[in-house]
Amino acid sequence: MKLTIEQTTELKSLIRSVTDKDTLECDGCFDLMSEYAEAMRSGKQLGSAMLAVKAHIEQCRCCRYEYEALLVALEELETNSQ
Amino acid sequence: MLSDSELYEAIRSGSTLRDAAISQLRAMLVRGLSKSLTGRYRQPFNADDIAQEALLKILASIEQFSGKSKFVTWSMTIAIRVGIGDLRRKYHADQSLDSFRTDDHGRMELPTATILSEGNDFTNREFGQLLQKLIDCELTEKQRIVVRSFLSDYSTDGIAHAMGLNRNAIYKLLHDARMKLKIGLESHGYGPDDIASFLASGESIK
Repeated sequence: MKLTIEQTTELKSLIRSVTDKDTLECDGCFDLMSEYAEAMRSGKQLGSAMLAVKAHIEQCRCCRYEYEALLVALEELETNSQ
Repeated sequence: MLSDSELYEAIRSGSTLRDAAISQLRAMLVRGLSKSLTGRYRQPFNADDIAQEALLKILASIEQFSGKSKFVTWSMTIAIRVGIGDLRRKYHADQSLDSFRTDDHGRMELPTATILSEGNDFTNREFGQLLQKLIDCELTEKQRIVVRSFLSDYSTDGIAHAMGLNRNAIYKLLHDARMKLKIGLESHGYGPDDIASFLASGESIK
């Protein structure tokens, strides 16, 4: 399969951004995501478990997408409850 | 309107308020899902159906709720994953399965223009050739298939489904492939800034 220029650019970005600091997998991230979302929304200082979620979300496009969708949903609930 | 803790207790304990609590939670899920998932993946989406499916999962796993977040936040996290999973399945159903072919051993070719064009200077060509070599020699066939599927807009969920693996395994294959390429480039003296500047000229060649 020949990569397009756009795919090659994304590959470059994937290589450049990867770190060996991500200690979680997607399921572990999911288990802690609600806690992490609340910590981020309240501006709480992050402990080591929450920092691990942050590192994973920065590395994993799919978990990041779910997290961003969760924030939108929580914002909507908050807006409606006021 | 029940508070978050009342909602949780009423649903978990099966009190007389349980039906009202479930209705309240369902309405909240529908509202949150409608706002956050409509239009994603350019797929039709029914928030009521997703909320119902999510509710079944929430009720089945309620004993796993640890209380470290609000019950509604925990429930919404489950609903979002159910909803996005559904949208991804629909989205991937229309996509080509070409990237999952194994008859070419997961071959992934960088654009010729990127590596050979006279528009690129020697350093970029050298970099491109090295990256191609690392892709060919350092990555396993499975890693190449995962990487090219991901670059073809598949989610880790979608790749996992197509390859009969779980999402954690796909994430690890992808992560390890990225690390191998990064370490390979670094061992030849290319750091993050070089990776960023590589293709700077290639991007303009179409």
